[in-house]
Amino acid sequence: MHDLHIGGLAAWALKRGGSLHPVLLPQSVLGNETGIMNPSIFSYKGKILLNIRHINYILYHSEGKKFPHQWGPLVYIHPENDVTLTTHNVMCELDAGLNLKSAQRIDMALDTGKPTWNFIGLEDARLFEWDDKLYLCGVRRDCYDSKGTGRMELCHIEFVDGQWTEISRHPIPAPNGDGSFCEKNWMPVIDMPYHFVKWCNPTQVIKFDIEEGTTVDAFVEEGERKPFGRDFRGGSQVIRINDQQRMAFIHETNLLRDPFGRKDGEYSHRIVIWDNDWNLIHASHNFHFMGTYYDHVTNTDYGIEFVTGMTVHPDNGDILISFGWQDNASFILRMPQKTFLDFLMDNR
Amino acid sequence: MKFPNMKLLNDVILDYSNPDKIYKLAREYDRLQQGSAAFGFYLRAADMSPGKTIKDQWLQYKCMILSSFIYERNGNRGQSVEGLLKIAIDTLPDRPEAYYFLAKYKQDKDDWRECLMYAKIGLSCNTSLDNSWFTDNDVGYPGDDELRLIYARAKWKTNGRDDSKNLAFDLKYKRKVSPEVDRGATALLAEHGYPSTLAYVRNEFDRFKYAFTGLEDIEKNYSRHFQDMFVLSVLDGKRDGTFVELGCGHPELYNNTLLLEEEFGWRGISLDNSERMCHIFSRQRNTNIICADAATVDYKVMFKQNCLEQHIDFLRINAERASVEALSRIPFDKYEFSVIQFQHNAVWWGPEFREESRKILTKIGYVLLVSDVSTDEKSNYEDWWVHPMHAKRKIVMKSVGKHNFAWDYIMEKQK
Repeated sequence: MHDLHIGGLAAWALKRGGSLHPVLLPQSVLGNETGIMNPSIFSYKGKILLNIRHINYILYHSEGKKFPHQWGPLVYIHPENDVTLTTHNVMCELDAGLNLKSAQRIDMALDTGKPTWNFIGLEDARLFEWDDKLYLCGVRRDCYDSKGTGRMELCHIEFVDGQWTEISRHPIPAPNGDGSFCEKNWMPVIDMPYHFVKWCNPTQVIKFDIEEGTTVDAFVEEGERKPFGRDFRGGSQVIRINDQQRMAFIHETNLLRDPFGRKDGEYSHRIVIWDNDWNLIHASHNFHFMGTYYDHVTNTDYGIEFVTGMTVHPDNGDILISFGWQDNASFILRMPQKTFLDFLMDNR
Repeated sequence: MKFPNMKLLNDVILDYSNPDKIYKLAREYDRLQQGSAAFGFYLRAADMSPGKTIKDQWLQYKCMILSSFIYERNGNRGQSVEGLLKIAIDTLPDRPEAYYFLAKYKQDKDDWRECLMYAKIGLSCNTSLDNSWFTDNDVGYPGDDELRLIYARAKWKTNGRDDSKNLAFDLKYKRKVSPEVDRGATALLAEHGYPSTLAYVRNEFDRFKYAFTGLEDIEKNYSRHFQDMFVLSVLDGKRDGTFVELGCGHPELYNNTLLLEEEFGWRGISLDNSERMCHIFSRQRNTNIICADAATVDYKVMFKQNCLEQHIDFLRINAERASVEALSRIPFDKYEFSVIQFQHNAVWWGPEFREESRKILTKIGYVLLVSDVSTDEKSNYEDWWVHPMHAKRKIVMKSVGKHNFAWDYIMEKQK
């Protein structure tokens, strides 16, 4: 496991037959070169699809604090005449070698109203298939009120007449009275349509009635939390790995403040496995994909990474994990199944 | 679309704390116009660098500058662009690049005071620092001349005076510059005009076309467009010569005889119709000053009263609209002149005075050696004549029938 502390999972995988693949977008889509982040990969009808969050800002994150922005070590640099943080979703198709074949901004055709808050668009959307339909599910905060209340939204998308288009949109109320402020990062359970793991430790599974637009708890873990210290938040899609188990990548956050009280942070990840009864039966050590800036004085890591997708390569069965780096770049980590399993075994 | 150099990425993955490798990856992303990713890696490279040696600081410095370019490409993020360049300055304050890019940024924003400040500081940097880490130019610094050009523009915008013209002139005529800088300097000169004075200074010794005895001792001259230097060239640095100057103006500023008097021991008569100027002149110069209207003077009497010999070395006439009348009054039947300079101001007044003066001087045998001497490429305002004896000696080049921009006539082109 020493490798993980030196270079993260990417280095660990690279030394064992894996590979890391940067996602590049053509200028026609990328425009003025702002961030492309939090990609969600999904194998769909033999194709490898990837949804990327394209934002109107660049995240300025001075991990080492040697060169912080005048407004802090972690700042969203958006246009000075536009305080919104705007998200567009870009649908990409990759070839078998994980190179970009095509990229197109999804026409969110149901965006008709004027945004009521300044986080605009469907954020951190996961890509998956339920009932033979392709969905994106992410958080939207621009339409519920002027305070930033956020709800998960399920969007059916299709490729129609040469254009990726939003066909229908389904806001998902929070469970138990819809009283929360902001829901985000729910993990769709691929083999259980309309079910999400809201978070784990404790695990909470939500069932969404798409016809009625209602939610109920399908499972809520009782008893003491596992001794991992922090909440486990989504995460990739939840995929079935055998008859008995499901698996997902989750993330943990360590939100920090600099000496002036300005925000900073560190994200790390784990792989978790549930049994069929949603008992959390395994959680790997927490790890980073690329690594962090490690402050030896305070024994603190700094770094922003975020995993939002995982799938199996349709040709060779390799595990493909998509993650964003510093909100500024997108990568796909390819791991041969044996390498991936070795990693899991090492992490028991 | 494929990432073309996976080795760069793999090098970083396997050595995620190595600032040099991270920097190379950032450069590759930048080249591929993937600005956000490039920025992220530039910032990490800078953060990971220890910053203890010049090599470290040079890398950090470049990262900050190259990051500022990305924010500029993003558009409308001026505070971040400035902030990054200021961090670069903090990192290596003696380097000119960040000052240049800040000056350029301020120029593009029409913020000329700050542009002036950054350009000036940048020009004061010592770019010849002997350190091999400064050998690359990843940030695309176009060189000090581009900074000088921006400084010239800022100078004009902030005070609108000769400083700017001189800077632009130096770039176009005295320095070997890139085509871009040459175009910029040319545009500045076309828009604002040429300097009012093109002075000779000692460090231009090698470029002076018509070297004469004693040239090496001259620190600077005083004439506006080398009139004094031309006289000395024709007469090979003659000592103890004589002159008559009608319309002498200020005793030092733009004066055509001060150099002759001070450095070469000439004597003579100066005349001006301004009492104030004559008063100043009389207190500063040893030369006799006569306060009179050049068009009314009896020169035969004046020359006799001042004991001038029949051969006088230099006659200069710049009596504004009285110049032709003054010229017609000169007793050429009794006195001869080696060199005559006649200011006709044809560019402003039309050809009438010029043609009249040429008739007079041609008729009595003087040779027009340099016609239509100009303040720039087109503004002709005087003729330079010589006695036939000097015309035969061909000390200086004859150039007649066109405008003669004084600088081009006197100075070799920049090699």
